[in-house]
This record gives sequence, C-alpha cells and structure tokens, in this order.
Amino acid sequence: MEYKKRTRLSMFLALSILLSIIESFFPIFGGIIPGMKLGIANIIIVIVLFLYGRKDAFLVAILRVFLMGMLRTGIFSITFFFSLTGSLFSVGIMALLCKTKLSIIGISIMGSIFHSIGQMITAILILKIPNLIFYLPFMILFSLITGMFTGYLAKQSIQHIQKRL
Amino acid sequence: MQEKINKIIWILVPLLIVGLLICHIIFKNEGKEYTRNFFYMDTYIYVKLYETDSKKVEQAFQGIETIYQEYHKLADRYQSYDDIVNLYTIHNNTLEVDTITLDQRLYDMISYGKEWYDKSNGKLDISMGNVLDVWKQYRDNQNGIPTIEELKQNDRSNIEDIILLENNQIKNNHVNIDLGAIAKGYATEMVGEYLESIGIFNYLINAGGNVKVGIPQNKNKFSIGIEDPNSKQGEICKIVYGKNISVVTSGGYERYYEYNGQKYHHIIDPDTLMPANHMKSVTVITDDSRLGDILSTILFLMPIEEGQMFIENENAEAIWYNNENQIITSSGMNQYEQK
Amino acid sequence: MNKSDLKLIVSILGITILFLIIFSMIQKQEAKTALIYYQNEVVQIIDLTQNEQRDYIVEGENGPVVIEVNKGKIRVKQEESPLHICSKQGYISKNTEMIVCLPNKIVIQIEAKNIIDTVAR
Repeated sequence: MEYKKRTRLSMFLALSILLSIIESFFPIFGGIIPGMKLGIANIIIVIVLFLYGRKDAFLVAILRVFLMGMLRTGIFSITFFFSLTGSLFSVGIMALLCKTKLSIIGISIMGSIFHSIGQMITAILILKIPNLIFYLPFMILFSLITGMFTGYLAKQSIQHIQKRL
Repeated sequence: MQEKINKIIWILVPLLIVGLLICHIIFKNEGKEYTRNFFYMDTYIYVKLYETDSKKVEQAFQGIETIYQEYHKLADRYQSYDDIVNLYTIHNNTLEVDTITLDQRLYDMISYGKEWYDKSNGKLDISMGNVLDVWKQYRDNQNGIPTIEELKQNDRSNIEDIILLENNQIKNNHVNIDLGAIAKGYATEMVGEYLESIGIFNYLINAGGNVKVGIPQNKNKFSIGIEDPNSKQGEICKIVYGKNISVVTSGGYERYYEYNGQKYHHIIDPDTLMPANHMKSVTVITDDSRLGDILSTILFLMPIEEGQMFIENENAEAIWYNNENQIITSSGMNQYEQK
Repeated sequence: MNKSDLKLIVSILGITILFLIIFSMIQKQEAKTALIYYQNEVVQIIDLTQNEQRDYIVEGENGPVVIEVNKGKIRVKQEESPLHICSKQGYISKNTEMIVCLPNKIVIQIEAKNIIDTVAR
C-alpha cells in the first residue's frame, strides 16, 4: 500500500477508535442489549468507503473491532461478537449499495440499520432470547435517525476532504 | 410493471386461499375445554377434558365422579356405608365369620399394599392404621406429641395379619388397614383408563396434587410444575414435561402441625413410628398413577441414597428436594425435561 | 439527499409500522406469569396476577438478585453488578418486554398465558 494512503487510513482507523471510545460512554436502550451503541464511528467507515473503496472500508472496520476488543471489550467476549457482526453487516450492505442511486446519506442510513440488525441477530443467537426481536422496530427507527445524522456528517467531511486532495 | 403486479396477485391469492383451507382443516377438530371439580377422599379433585362432543363430556364427568366416589367409600377408615364392605368394616365388624368377601377393587388395593411391603423391605406398611390414628388425634389437638410407648401400644397388628385368600376373600382379623398411599393413585389411574375407554385421550387430572395427564391439545406435552416445599404461595421449583404420565409428590409440608417449634407431618415411618425426615419432598414420575402414589410414599420414607438405588429397579423417575434445599434427580429424568 | 433516499426512508418507516402493528396484536396487557431464567434455565416462575407486593431472591452469577413484584409488574430491585444495568431497566409488565441482566446471567420474561398446566403438590 502506498505510503500516503497507509498513513491516512491509519489516521482514520485511530479516529474511528476514538469515536468508539467516546460513544461507549453512552449506553442506549437502558443497557438491555449491552454493546448496542449510537454508531457514530460509522462516519469514518462511510468516509473511507467513498474515498478509498470497499476493500479499505472493510479493512478499517474489522481492524477497528479488533483494536476495540483489545482496548475495551475483550477479544471474543459477547460485546466483541456483537460489534463484529454489526460491523460486517454494516460494511457489507454499504458496499453492496455503493453503485445504486442512493446518496451518501441513504447508504449511511442502511449501514446504521444493518449494524443494529447484525447486533440483534447475534444477541438472539448467543443469548438464546428470541423475545429480543420485539425491540427491532424501535432499533430500526433509532438507527434511521442516527444514520441520517452520521451520513450528513460523513458527506460534509468527504466534500471537505475532496477539496483538499 | 403492471404485468409483474398481476403475476404476483395470481400467485399470492391462491396461496392465501390454500393456506386458509389448511388452517381450517387443522383446527376444525379441536375440542373445547371442560373442567369440573369434585371433593372425595379428603381431597380437592380437578379434572380438565378436551372434547368435541358435549354429551360425551357430561357422561365422562359422571363416570369420573362415580369412580372417585366409590374408591372414597372403599378406602374410608372412619365410616361405614350400607351397601359395601370397606376398610372401616374390615377393622370394626362384629360379624362372626372367618373370612369376608371384598369388592375386587378393595382386594386389589390391599394386595398391592402387601406386595409393596415386601418390595420396600417394610417401608410401605398398610397395617399401621392405629398408629396413624394416634398421630391424627395429636395433629387435630395440636397439643403435644405421642410418646413412643403410646405408639408402640397401638402398633399391635402387622402386615402378616392381613391374609388374603382366593375369591377376593380376606381373613377377618380386624386389622386397621390404611390405604392412604394407594387409594388415590388407584382411583386416578382407573379414571384415566375409563376416559380412554370412552375415547377421551386429551385430559388432565389433579387429585389433590396427584397429577395424571393424557395427551394435550395443540402442543406436544403438558407442563407440570412441582411445588417448592418451602413456598408459602405455591411457587414452583421445577417444571416437568410429559404426556400420558403421572406425577405424584409426597412431602411433609402440606399436612402438619407445630409443637414446641418443631413440625410434625403425616407420613409416618413404620420403623420409628415418627414422621420421616430424610427430605422435604419427593416427586415420582411414571406412566401408572398407582405406582406413582406408592413409590412417592416409599421414597419419602427412606434416605435419598437408598431411594436412588431403589428407583433404578423401577419403571419410574424421581426428583428429591432435600433438607438442604437442593434438587436431586434420578438418572432417567432427562426425558421429562424437554418440551 | 435525493429521491432514492426518500423512497428508502419511506419504505423503512412503512416496514417499521407494519412490525409495530403485528406486535401490538401479539402483545397482551394481562401479563399472567413471569419467568426468571438463570443461564437460560427457568429457576423461578412467578404468578403476576396476585396483587401483593413481594420480593423474591434469585441466585445470580455475582450474588443474590432481589426481584420485586408489585401489582402485575416486575423489576430487578437490587443486584451485584458494576453498572447496575438491571435495576435501571425498571418495571416490565407486558409479554413483549423483558429485562436482561448479562453480568448476573439473569433474564426476566413475561408470558401472557399460563405456562404451567397444573402443579403437583
């Protein structure tokens, strides 16, 4: 990987970890599903997706989960698996939707929603509590809103960065 | 676009109709739920049936009541009834005969009791009526406990005095026979057989805690809770799942009295003549209610380790709730733990 | 924000509303029994139709967990855990609600029907 790109991606990775740490101070849903987060770290993933492409977005996303694991949640703990599946679902759907007519905001919304869906599926499978599914509609609405918010921030950042490149 | 929508409608609507038809066929034959209560054998009996034919239901309840009524009379130790020979008659009759003829059912129960005396090494002793009466007196007055001498004095007859002969005859030895560990199980098992003989297989019977179930409707097995012996409000300590099974619990926590800070319950050990204290309760699961009733009493009267070995030879499983509030299950309990 | 985005948002809202409608059909107000799970096994079954206020103590992973039942509602009153997440979740009373207590491995769920057919005593 080219030197400049590597440095920049590392900085984005560091930023995403910083955002993750910040959002870990705000447990949502009264802590019912531990590991459920606001998803602001998603801003970085969206930015990387649009500036560098799918492979790099996946890379940053996975690395973020593992590094957060080492720093905070513990590798292979329950929260780690929530994060992992959430991120994979999220990057996955965003990568697929790249080529469609959706704008950055639309893609970010889907990323947020699928992050939550991924976490919920893992929670249901690992904890074996099928009733968690009742919380899905609320989570989707919440992710919709956070997705719009992060999408907007990502879009502004991307435009700003592209001017400089 | 329009064609796509048309295609979808052509597929979905017939599917929907087929689906509805299937549902109708599956649920059409569902029976309604009927329940009734009876009070016999000093017990509140609850019966639930699922049946489509309401006339059959009425017939069934009559049949059930008759069975409980008759076993109640046969096993009654305190009262005689004009038309039948029962335990009271066997004990108190002044007939000058050598032998008495018994109703087949009474004969069978006494025979069962004798059989299990041998099998349980004397733990199941139906000849203890007098001892039980002494305890009952103290329990009613709540004013003390009997002395060992008093109990021994009343323990005059033993199992050998109960002599059964051919043609449903019993030697007139005036033994005070007690069928407390047998009658309810017998009656309940007979009720189950009766229901199945008239074609009712979806039923649930709870005779004062002695449970017998057939096949449930709309699910695979019945859920039967086992009461926590420490509970004051009927809480459950375990659930077992099954169909065509009987669940019977023996425990000291329902019928007892307190004296000088100690509890004295109604299940008396034939060897010590005192209430048994090896555990708080034991529950037996079998397919035959007679076995369940008698086994639960036997297991309650022996230490848990002994009971664990004893039950390995029987076609039954058990759940012990020991004095340290732990639950111990027998080796084959697994089959009753899945829904 | 473009047309596709708006279509997306509308369909998401539509699906969510559909879910909520289905859930409201499933959700029943008269909660009958609460099931308390420890490590995914039922350890206590509580009848919520009794109106008395009562506390139950269940052994959790980190120590005893005090559960309070009051007028058809149930909640975790006290627990040993760093963040006290369980007690913060408050009361639940409907069969679509639940309390999940990961540190103590306790889950409380509500059934709208009687899950026990009868009790052997």
